[in-house]
Amino acid sequence: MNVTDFPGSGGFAPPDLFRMEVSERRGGKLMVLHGELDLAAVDQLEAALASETGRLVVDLRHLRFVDASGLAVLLRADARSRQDGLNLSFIAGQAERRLFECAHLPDPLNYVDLPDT
Amino acid sequence: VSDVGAIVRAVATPARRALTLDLPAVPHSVSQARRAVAEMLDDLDVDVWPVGLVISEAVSNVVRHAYRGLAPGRLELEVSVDDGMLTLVVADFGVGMSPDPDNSGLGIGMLMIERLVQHMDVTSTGGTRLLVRMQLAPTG
Repeated sequence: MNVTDFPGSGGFAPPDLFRMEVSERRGGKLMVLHGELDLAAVDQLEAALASETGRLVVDLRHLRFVDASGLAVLLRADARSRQDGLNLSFIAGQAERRLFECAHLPDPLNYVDLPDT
Repeated sequence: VSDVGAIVRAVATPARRALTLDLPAVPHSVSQARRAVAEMLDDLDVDVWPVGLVISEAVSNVVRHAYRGLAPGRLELEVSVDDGMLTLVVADFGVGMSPDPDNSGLGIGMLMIERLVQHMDVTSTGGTRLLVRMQLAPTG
């Protein structure tokens, strides 16, 4: 399992800070997002998503907070997955759902249940 | 409050409290500002999510747009709570409000602020100053 800590955290990420865990799963990868997805985290997540190809499930359940900057990264990745080789889906969390509701935006993300291990 | 160096003034009583932050206009300041205000409200039985979102969008706007083409400048954030009403001022000293051709966001930040607050006022003279007032909602 590859754990990516928040830049500058010295290897220790407090629970609120953004971090990602990527693991191999049957037929693809699982990326679990933790902490707060805001402007401070978007470059890190955007780069990670841009480097992925094939089947990727992004688990949003452990995000404590998502703002418009974070949501924009998820929506851009979702749009890209419809155009090229990335087969992207999401496991729904409360943080992005509450933001969609607040913004009165339709939620276009492709949600799946937790994939088999 | 975690970053003492960034805080100019913090005053707290059960019903009235205030916090002033002087931060660099860089992405990490978004989370830092949100966290400092969440700590200020920690002992109150209020839903901090709307407050956190308003602060996040306001500070993100400064970081993304206020100093474009320039070295990152400063932003000032003042938060006060008086009898359940939160007043927030976010001010920068940048280029003022104008369309940003490189905007990579959703463009809904200000819209969400408007949805969550009872009063909003933006002035742009030698920088931009956003003032909002919002009623704190109880948890749950």
